[in-house]
Amino acid sequence: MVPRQEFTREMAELHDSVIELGVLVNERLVGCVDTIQNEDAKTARRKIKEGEKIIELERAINNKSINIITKQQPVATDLRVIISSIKVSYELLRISENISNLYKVRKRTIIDNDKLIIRLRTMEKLAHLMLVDVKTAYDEQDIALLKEIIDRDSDIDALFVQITTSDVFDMPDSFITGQSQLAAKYLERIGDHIKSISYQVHFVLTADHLK
Amino acid sequence: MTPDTKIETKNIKKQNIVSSTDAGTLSNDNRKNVFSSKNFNLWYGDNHALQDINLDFKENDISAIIGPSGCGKSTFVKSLNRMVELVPIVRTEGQIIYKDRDIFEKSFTKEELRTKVGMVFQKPNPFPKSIYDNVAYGPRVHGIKKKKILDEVVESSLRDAAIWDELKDRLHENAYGLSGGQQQRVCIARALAIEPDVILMDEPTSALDPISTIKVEDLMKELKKNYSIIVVTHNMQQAARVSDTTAFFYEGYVVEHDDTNVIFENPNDKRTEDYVSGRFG
Amino acid sequence: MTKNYNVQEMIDKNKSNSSNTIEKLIPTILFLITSISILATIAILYILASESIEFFRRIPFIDFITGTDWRPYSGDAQYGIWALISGTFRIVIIAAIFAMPIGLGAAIYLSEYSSDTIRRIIKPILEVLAGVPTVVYGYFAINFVTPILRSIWSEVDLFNAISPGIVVGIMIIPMIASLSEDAMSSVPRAMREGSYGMGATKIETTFKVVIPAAISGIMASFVLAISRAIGETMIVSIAAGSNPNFSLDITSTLQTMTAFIVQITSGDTAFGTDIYYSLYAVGLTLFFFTFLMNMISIWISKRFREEY
Repeated sequence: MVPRQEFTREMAELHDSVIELGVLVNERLVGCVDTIQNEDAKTARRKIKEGEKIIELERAINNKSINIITKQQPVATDLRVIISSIKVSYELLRISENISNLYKVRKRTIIDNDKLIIRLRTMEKLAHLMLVDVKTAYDEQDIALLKEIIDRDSDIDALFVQITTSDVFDMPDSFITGQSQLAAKYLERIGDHIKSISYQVHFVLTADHLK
Repeated sequence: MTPDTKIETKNIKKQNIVSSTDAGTLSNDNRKNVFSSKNFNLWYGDNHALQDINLDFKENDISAIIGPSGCGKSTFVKSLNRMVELVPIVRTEGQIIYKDRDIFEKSFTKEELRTKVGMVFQKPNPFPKSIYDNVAYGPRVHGIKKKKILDEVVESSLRDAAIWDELKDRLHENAYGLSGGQQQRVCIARALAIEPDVILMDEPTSALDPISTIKVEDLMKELKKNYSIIVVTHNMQQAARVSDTTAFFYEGYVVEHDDTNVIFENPNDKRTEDYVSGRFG
Repeated sequence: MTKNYNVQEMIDKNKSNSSNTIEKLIPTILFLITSISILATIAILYILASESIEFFRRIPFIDFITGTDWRPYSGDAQYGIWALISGTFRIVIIAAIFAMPIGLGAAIYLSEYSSDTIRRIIKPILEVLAGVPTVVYGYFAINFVTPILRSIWSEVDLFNAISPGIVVGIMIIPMIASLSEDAMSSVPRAMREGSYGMGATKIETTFKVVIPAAISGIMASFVLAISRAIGETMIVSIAAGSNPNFSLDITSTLQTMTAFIVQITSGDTAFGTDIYYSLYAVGLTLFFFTFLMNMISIWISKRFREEY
């Protein structure tokens, strides 16, 4: 009989919750830039509401983590996993908030500058790939992959700098320009949060912090 | 769905199992050893109860020894003050050095060793005498008779054991009238009265209620300023709370010995990780 | 695993009413059994007391209580009990001085020092010593111990206090040794370990921890042994003599209370004489001393039990 069956089961449930949160956030991420370009404002509003599921799940993960710590006095790897669950779910929540912010841009205006949209879509794809790869790195305990994912964030940053400093993307209406720069900012933040998740996964796997 | 999602992180980190001759992160510590065992072996009859124990204990540390039942931790600690020899079928090999002296050499009597190395037992064992006589027993048996001196020794020992205020007006009451937690602190005071260098504690709080346990743990942390403490404990949270270093014993040998932070946050040996996570057996 | 029996049902079935009545009857039965022994004690006490009253009608109580001459056969008969008490006293003191150190020493050896095998051999031998009939002890005293004594110390007479005193001592050694050893063995090992842990030697631990902790049992063994010595009859009848006197002379003849009773009852004392009734008075005195020893024993165990 496996010792501490209930504890093992609770840790598994926590783990599954975090993965589920990641999957939900990932689903939300894919195609969000299209919304700014195409969908109507009503769809955007609906999609913002979908973010509430994620808020609830993050809260549940927090509560479960506190509960396990209180009841089971975890140490070593177990404790790292739990602390990281709290931190990773927080980062995922922030990603989701940034996606909602993107939808709010659509509420205010449509952005139809193709060159800009292509850049934004690229940022979204990069972020999506990063998120998928983080899960892979975690499953396969691939430290090298984690380090590489962290590097990729600079690609997203570069795109952000391009969008906000180059006047190729200036639009006639300065309000729209402002909103489009906000959109780019949100996507850049999403990249940062995925980078933070990578750092946490590294900590779980190695008990070390990457510089 | 199998509940088995424990992360197996050991294939990423160091593969080597720390042998009992490896001092791990402790080798950077330049303080003196108060106890040092070298290839120490012990048999109960045919049972090889302790195998090649090589451990160093630093001065003014609280060193914890943990491990499952029957792993030899109590046996080892009782070897340090040679109390284990009360059992007739015991046989030992190897050295135990107390501050440059081999405790088994002829010129170092057991009695002398035990005046320098005191012991607190699992079940409080005060004598059926007054509290005063309990604490004064050690000094008296070693020739200190003057009342004035004994009065001071009793007071200071009871103060060091954080129980003077509770008992100062009851010194002539029988120690048996005290609660378990108070009795244990009187036993600690009794051990302190002869001013040893080292205090050995064999599961000192396992028979006490949680509040008394906390009091004894706080006491240990105070005592560490002037004494070296080696404590055997079943209670891993206790080892984590109070000790500076922890040694993990298993089936008679030392699996790992390192800073307590390392043992509980990121041990080197998978068996250690399993044990402290409660996933043993 | 499905069970094809139901324990609760079986318990219910086996519940019978007859066991209830037996349960209620037992205390009464036991009480009656106990009262037999109590009744016997009361009966003896009553007889002693009532016959003694007759004695005290003839002999003034004050003479009995304060007199030091016991000459019941002389023309001017004297009935001062102190002569007999002094005889008993001398024997008991010698027995105590002899037996207590030896008994306690044996107890210490058996409890603290001897190995299990030695203890298993010696303890039964001690029990045998306790089982030797006192008449045999008496002959041992007069035929063996007394001649040796006389060859060492010429002062000693054929009848004296030393020889029976020593032999009574030998007789009570097993009592002291066995009970004291039991008391000392009951002292928990943890207490000794506490003492060793502070660097005390075995002797120090024995005398400063174990014996004080066991003192209640040890004292009880002493009191029991002394009671036994007070009531000892055969040895003193054979070896001590029949000449009551109030003194501290241990080298010449004397008589104990118990020996006097034997002397009278085995002789041809007529019923109704003063001497006849004096038996009951002496018996009552013996009873009184036994009672006193019991009270001391209770007081001791009360006083020392508080501490353990």
